[in-house]
Amino acid sequence: MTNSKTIAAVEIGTSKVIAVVAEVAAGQSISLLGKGEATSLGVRRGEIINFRQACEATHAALNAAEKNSRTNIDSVYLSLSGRQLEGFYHVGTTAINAPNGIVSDSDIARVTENARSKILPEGRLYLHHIKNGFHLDGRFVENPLHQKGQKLEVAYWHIHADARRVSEAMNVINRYGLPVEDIVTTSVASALVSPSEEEKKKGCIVLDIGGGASHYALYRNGFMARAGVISIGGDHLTNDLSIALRVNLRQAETLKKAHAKAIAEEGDKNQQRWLYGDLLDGNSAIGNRPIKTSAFAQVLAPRLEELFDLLRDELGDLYEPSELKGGIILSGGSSRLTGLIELAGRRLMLPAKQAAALPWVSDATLKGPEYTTVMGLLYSALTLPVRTQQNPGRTTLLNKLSKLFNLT
Amino acid sequence: MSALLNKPKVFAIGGAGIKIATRLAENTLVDFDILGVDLTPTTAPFEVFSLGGGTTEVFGSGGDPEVTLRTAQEKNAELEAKIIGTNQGSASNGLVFIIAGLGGGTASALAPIVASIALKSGAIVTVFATLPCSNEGNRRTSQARQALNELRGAGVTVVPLPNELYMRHAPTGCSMLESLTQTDIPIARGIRGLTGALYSQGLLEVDTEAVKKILCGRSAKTIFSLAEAEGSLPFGTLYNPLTDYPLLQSGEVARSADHLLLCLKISRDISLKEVNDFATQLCEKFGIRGEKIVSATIHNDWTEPRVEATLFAQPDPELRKKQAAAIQAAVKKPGKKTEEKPESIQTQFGFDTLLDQRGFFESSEPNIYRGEDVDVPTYLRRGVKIVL
Repeated sequence: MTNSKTIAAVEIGTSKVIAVVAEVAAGQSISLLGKGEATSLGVRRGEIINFRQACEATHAALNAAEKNSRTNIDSVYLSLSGRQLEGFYHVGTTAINAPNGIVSDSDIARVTENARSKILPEGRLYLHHIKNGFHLDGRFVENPLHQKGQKLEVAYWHIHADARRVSEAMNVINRYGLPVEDIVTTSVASALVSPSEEEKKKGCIVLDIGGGASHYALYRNGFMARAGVISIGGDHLTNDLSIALRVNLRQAETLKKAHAKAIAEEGDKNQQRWLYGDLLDGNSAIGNRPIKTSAFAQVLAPRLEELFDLLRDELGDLYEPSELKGGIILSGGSSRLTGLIELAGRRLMLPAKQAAALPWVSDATLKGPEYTTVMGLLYSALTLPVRTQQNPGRTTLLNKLSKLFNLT
Repeated sequence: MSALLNKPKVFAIGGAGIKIATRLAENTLVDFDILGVDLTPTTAPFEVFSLGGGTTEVFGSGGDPEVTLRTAQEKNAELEAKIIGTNQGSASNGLVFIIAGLGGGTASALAPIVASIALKSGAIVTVFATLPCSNEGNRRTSQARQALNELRGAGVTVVPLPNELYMRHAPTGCSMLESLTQTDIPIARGIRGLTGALYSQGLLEVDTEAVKKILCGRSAKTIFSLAEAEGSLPFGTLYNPLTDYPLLQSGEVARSADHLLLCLKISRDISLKEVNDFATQLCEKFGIRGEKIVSATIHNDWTEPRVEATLFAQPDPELRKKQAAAIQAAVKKPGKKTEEKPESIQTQFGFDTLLDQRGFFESSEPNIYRGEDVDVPTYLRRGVKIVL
């Protein structure tokens, strides 16, 4: 196929590293070829804390993905997470130059430059400039070109990252002998594919609860108005259970997956689960002991309520239920937790649902909510040529960074 | 009647404190001198001393303790005179209770001031402080925490009552309004327990000075619990709810107690042996190594066996230090040279070990949001009791 490339979408998560290989025909189609997974090491709360271990896990996943897809990967689309990611909202303004007040290409270029030209502190670099629409004399316009007005504004949500951490993540991939074509934050990647176009227009929140952190994005009027990360994830749920139930992390993880609930149900107080499963007489294994089913919700509900409260805090004035008719859409591995959807809806006073499986993914093993980020990465690869035309600075920035750190 | 001649006094501080005292005025605080202290003039079934002037008289503190502090400094003499009292029936050498809702601008600043004045006058001061819910915002939480530390620093007994915890343990079907009044129960019971111990004729009477020794002058976290039981063997059923009370959170807190004051209200048919056995069992559970005081007053109206218990316990770092030194001296090998260690300057025993539990995140940097390390399980930070 001409103009096609074989790429791997790689998410170096806190619990596992996922690499999905696909053939992408620019702007046209994605063909999923295979996947590889490895237990993650050296990553905490979405950030690499042990480079060597992170390399081993990621390379194992990439190797498995290449074997599974029986092809060689050309380049990698990498997701980035962690609390090092920060964002800010900035509005660019310009007066219309033409005497007749008709907006020209140069006006648009000037206002865009103005909105994106804010200099970051040393050691930080832009990852995304997310456009939030134009306003001409205060009224929203989809495309201001050739329209009449005096003052043109464009708002952007800018996401920037620690340059050292970006280079570290790229280095993990480069050590496998592959270039990084683009970096997309986990929040943006998930938010690209989780909601439908209608939900984006109605306004919605996307929350991807991963192992080490939760990534959120808010859509308003079809634009991604905010995206960020909260360093609370599935690991916190496991850790809370481990401390409360006095079991080790492995047992806590097993119990979480098998029996945990976000909301206690009627009758849970009288039900119990055995630590090592219900054996013949309930206690025939050494150390086996019963745990009340209601204890799971007692431990997990405060944690999840706190997560939703923090999300509301992070969104600030943008959190306005009347402007979020699309509700909250949950993805990520931890979104499978029983009762989570109900709790989210109740706490945030919004309609809540789990992210629907993507219609263009036919492989049943890749339909789960834990694959939302990598699917978002592939989706961004599909749309990149279009975005590159509109936003040429994007890839240049990565090339610049690669040169800066001698990565390519 | 014991050595206390003055009537017990209640100071209701700020809007929340006055509201609670108003609710309790009809039943619990019938024989009490109640004084409300606020910045704005407030209507209540008892006297309310308004400190405010100018804009603060109309708008209050606006949630800013600094505004209240400035006003209190300006009217310090007036406030002191009101608190101590210049005539008979003053707080001097009496029992003083302070009810305050911490987190806002008035009580967060005034409660420590009122507590210090009352303590200086020689009263036994107990503060019941309600704490804001986490969703009331970071500012209120940190203001409440600051005020709590100041109160503890003043050397009075402070019983913190987190609203969130009590709302969580409210009975099913409880309305929002009823949930918000859940802290009235421990406040009423705490006040009744202490006044019963010091003012009523009882089976076991207590010495005022001994109570003062337990409750005052120590900058430490008070352990507070209450429970009631009835039936043929009430003490048998009283033990678990008393030791599992939500404020105790876990055995960790209970084990930090050194001095104990147990106030019992019992029916006529309870024997002294039952009371003694129960007190011994409780002291063993809490590992009490200092003062133990048990008061028991008989409630003649109770026809069936019944017990109501209120427990106050205080850690004593000085006592622990002394006992540790004594043990060390006893095991010291003769003739071996030891370097004398400088005396610790720490005056407050830091037993926050429960909130240091980070498990998997033990070696990670603190993960701070809204002033809290969110790597520590939320249920521990919120004081949610897990029933296994």
